[in-house]
Amino acid sequence: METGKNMGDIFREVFKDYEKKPSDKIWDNIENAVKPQTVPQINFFKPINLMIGSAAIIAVSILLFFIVSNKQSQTPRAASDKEQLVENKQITPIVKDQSPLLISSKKTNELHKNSITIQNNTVENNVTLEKPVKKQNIHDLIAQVDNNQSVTGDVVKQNALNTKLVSKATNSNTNQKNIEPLQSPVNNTIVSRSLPISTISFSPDQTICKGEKATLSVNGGISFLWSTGEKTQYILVNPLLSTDYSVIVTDETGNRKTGLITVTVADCNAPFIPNAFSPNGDGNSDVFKVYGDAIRNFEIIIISRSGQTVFASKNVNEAWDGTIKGRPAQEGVYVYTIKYINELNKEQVISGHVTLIR
Amino acid sequence: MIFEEEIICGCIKGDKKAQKALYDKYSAKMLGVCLRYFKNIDEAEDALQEGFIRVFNNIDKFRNEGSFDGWLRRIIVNTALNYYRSNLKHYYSIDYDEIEEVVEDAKLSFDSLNVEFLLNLIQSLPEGYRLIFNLYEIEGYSHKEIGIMLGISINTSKSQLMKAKKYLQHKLITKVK
Repeated sequence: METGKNMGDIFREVFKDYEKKPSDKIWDNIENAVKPQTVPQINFFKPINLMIGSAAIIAVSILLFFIVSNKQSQTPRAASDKEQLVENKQITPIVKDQSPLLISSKKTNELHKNSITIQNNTVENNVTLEKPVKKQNIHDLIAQVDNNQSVTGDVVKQNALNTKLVSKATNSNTNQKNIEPLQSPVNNTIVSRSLPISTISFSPDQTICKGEKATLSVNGGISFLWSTGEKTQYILVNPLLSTDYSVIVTDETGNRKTGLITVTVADCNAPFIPNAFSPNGDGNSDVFKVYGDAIRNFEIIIISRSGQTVFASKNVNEAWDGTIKGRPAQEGVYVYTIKYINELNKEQVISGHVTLIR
Repeated sequence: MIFEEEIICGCIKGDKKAQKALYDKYSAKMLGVCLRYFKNIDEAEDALQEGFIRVFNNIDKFRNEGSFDGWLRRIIVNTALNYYRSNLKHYYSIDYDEIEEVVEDAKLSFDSLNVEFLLNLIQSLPEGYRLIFNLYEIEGYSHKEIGIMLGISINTSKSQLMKAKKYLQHKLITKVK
């Protein structure tokens, strides 16, 4: 057998397909422990489901659009013609913002086209439109579509307000002056989307000694939220254990980017273990001992080359004076093994040798 | 693969049949993983049980971005690690003389070794060695990843791995003799 490398390969190969059937009671335990999930969730695994859902919504909405449009055109009210004129003018700019199609006509066919455009946009964002649509009139439908649109942007409130006012305006036959200024926030939504994603970069992963501090930073962006809760561009961290820090950065256009920076904490405070000592009473290195802070559950065993245990202790401050049962030990190499719990609560085992010189 | 997706979808909805199907499909394989991390089958089954409960309670977080097999295995391994951590103080630590054992070269054919024998070998490893040997050699994690997972330095991971290998070699030689 060759050392090291081969062994891992062989173990990996052998255990790749290793299986063992668990005892029956395990499943019973699992079944009892798993919390029941009563609310069925939307199935994201099959895009086809999403597509079917979207298609259904589109179909229903188009149908509704037709019905409502026809109803309105047949309304025997005196002001109906004027009303429709105003209404179409109101609808058109909203639609224009959401699609590259330019529509200015008031024909039903054109409206039909518009409605498709709106619905296509909606599908990306929301699939819960179906039920409310059935009960509401065309203005609310537009309002709703618009709201759904703006969920991704920062102008939700503005849009909600805007569309409400648009609906009101239509119902009360208000003239166009009231409506025009309200259309600008809608434009903003579109503008914010079309900007390119700006470049944001993060400081690289770091390795620090325990007790040291590390500075993590973000390059670019205007607002920051770190996993530590801090909101500054730079943060100073002092982890005791290796830690992953995440940060969410938002740039001027509202785009967000998440970064992950790993700070690896190395155990640098390893105890100092001399490699030689001379128990000759001259005052220099007369004993062998381990020098270290923050050491717990310390144990040391020193063994001679013949395999005899010459010294054992559980006290880090206790030193070996170079004697075996009261007699001076021979010159030569002695092997030690030291075990302790370090600051990171990890057990450390250090083996080495020390030379006894007289 | 459609079969597997259906099972996963069922599990997300909390369908008992789908959960059982998933369990039947993967439990033997995952117990095979757990066994490598624990001294005996009882502990391995405990970890398997805990792991599957976590899988079922969190399966809605699986987004089909990687293989389900890998995702499942990661959860099971993490459960094993947690299990190990919480029981850390109960485990005995290695005898000193076993560490210092000098490893000789031996002519040994691995072909003659069966899985059960090697599993026993792994299970006989001291806890820390076993963890790192499993994570590095069999699961394929890097020393850096292991360092983060276990909260140890990269060098500790490396040296523990070397010691684990020496230990295994020594055990192999002794058993064959």
